[in-house]
Amino acid sequence: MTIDPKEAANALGAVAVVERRTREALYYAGASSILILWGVAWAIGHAITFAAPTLANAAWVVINVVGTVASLLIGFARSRRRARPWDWRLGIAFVVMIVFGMFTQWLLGGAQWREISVFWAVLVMTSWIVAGMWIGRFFILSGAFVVLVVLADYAWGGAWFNLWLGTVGGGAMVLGGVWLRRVGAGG
Amino acid sequence: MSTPNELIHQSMRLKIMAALNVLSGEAQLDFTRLKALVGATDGNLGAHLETLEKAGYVAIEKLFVGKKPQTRIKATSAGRRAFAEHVTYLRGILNGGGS
Repeated sequence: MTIDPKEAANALGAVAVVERRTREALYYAGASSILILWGVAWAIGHAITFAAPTLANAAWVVINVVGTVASLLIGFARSRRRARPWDWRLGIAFVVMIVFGMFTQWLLGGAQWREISVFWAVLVMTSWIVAGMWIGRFFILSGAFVVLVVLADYAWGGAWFNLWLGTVGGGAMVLGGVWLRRVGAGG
Repeated sequence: MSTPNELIHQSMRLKIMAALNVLSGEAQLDFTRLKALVGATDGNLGAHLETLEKAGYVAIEKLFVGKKPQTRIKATSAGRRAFAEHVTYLRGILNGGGS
């Protein structure tokens, strides 16, 4: 059997394309659970904020802690399907982002609840978009879409701000997660 | 230098092995997902999987999830080794190792 350099290059190119697609599908399957989780958490958090503002702070602390721990566990569990081991830098990057957000919120202590909500949503979705540059374009598109939803709500939501953010923002995340589950390599 | 593996070098089988090799040891891909990843038809994928299974490069599990039949595939350790050796061989050609 004789293989010339051109044929070898073509074969290696085809291998690289399939490897990239497969990794992307595995990431999508893992991300779908995380997106659905945060979509539901968002909907619950904003519904509580809308209906019972005095409970909002306590509710968000619980939601953020449970959501962060659950996201890290899902990321770790899904990474076991890939031949490459779990990269702890991803988990650390996630924690750094949360700490950065908390520090900034403390620094700008006078901010109103609406601004804080927008800040956190944009911060998380910006990280999602940045991750998309390595993982896949769906992350970039879905992150940008949620940021637009949040900013539109901030500009025009008025008294319905939290309800809009919970239903449209949370709903978009759940739908995105369901779609990712269909295209990802789950199981 | 390693030698070429004619069985794996066939373009569709090379893609199948590339996809399965990304998964960790015991992880499987279902038939439909694998078909989409490598861009094959049902019949084409089935025939190539049979060839790879006979060579001991993949393991195929057929089961029912509810009432729906499902076929799951994973690369065996022999398959991973053969794939890695063939890729090394191809890289060798590009690095001037000849064929």
